[in-house]
Amino acid sequence: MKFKYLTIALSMLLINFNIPVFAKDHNNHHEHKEMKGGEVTSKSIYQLDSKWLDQNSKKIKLKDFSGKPVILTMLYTGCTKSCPIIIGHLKSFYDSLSNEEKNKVNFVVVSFDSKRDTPKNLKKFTDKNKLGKSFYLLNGSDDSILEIASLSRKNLTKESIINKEL
Amino acid sequence: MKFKAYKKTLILALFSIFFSLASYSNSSESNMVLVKGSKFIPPFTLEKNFKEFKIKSFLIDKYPVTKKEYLNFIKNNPKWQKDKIPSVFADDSYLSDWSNSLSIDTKKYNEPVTYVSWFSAKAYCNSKQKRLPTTLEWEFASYEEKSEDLDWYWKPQVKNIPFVGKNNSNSKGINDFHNLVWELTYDFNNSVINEDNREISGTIQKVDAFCGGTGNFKDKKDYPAFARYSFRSTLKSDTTLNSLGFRCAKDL
Repeated sequence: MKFKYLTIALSMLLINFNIPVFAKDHNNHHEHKEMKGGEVTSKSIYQLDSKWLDQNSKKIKLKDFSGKPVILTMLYTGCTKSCPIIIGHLKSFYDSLSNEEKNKVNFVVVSFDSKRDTPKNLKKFTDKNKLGKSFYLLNGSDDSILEIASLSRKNLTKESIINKEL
Repeated sequence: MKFKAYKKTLILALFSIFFSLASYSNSSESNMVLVKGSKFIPPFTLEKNFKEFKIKSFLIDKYPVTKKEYLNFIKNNPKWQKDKIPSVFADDSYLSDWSNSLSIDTKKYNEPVTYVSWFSAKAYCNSKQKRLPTTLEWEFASYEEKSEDLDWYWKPQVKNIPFVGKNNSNSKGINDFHNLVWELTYDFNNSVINEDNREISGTIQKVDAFCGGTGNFKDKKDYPAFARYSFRSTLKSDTTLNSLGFRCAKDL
């Protein structure tokens, strides 16, 4: 039952971000087979080869998340307006899942702020917000961030987002 | 003694500037032009008030990238050939004017390459240790005190695009910023001009309520700038078009 909600929430987020869906290729409507981990379609965001560090300073590539549904969001920890709401929603959703369900999904939070949101700061943020173990908070280069933002079709740059609030 | 050391440093600094400038003119950057940094107010802003930006000196390609140059790039980087490129990086019309993945009519070699996406343009520039210019840099490098003949913007030519170098170089020594193709910039998705941009400063002004749509432009009669900013805001990172090309830039 809870999984039904997960699917709804997931599709809402993916539509919201307009990111080519992670595990399935939407162009292949007739071929609805589930992807196995490691397979990457031509339309997938996993084609991005960018390198990231998570809140534990572990090296990570987006492809590493393949095989499980991902809820991806972008924010930065110095943000005081919409970001606490976003993270709050994600957290309460995560907390509502059973342990088994928690293992079946990844929550990927990409920071816009490559400079200030170091893995160390992301770790602090993770602890402060008591985010569970399926959360991956990512720090990457401005270019890697822009690539994801551009796929999400959000009109975002540091200039327009971060500087406004700080 | 102190003065001597200072003098020495100064001479060294002058020498290094001289040599670095000299090397720009005979290395792979020979087709790049040095754009000297300056203060610049871009023609469009999302803010209420116009902000002056300080632009650092940079290099920019004298011409848009040609089909021949792009062919060499995809020969060395097969991932970006049209039958191999992941569809997340370019839409279906990527290089659609190429007869097959690795050939194009030699007569077209000097045409600007078009039907390329932001991702592919970025990859091209990176392969040359360059990058796409930012919108600010592009607008600055192309800006002219004296207004030019910019008829192209009223009716952008999308078929039979002429060779690069069609237009005389501007006051900075750079060609074809206008009147050839639209050009991708690194942060093309920075400015947002939506269908109804009258409320950009929070309130609808009486005059704007009728003509609207121009948002915060420095000169509301600057149609070419309006066209460029609007055009960029319609792009996505996988968009490819017959009239959309690019050139690269580089830090000093």
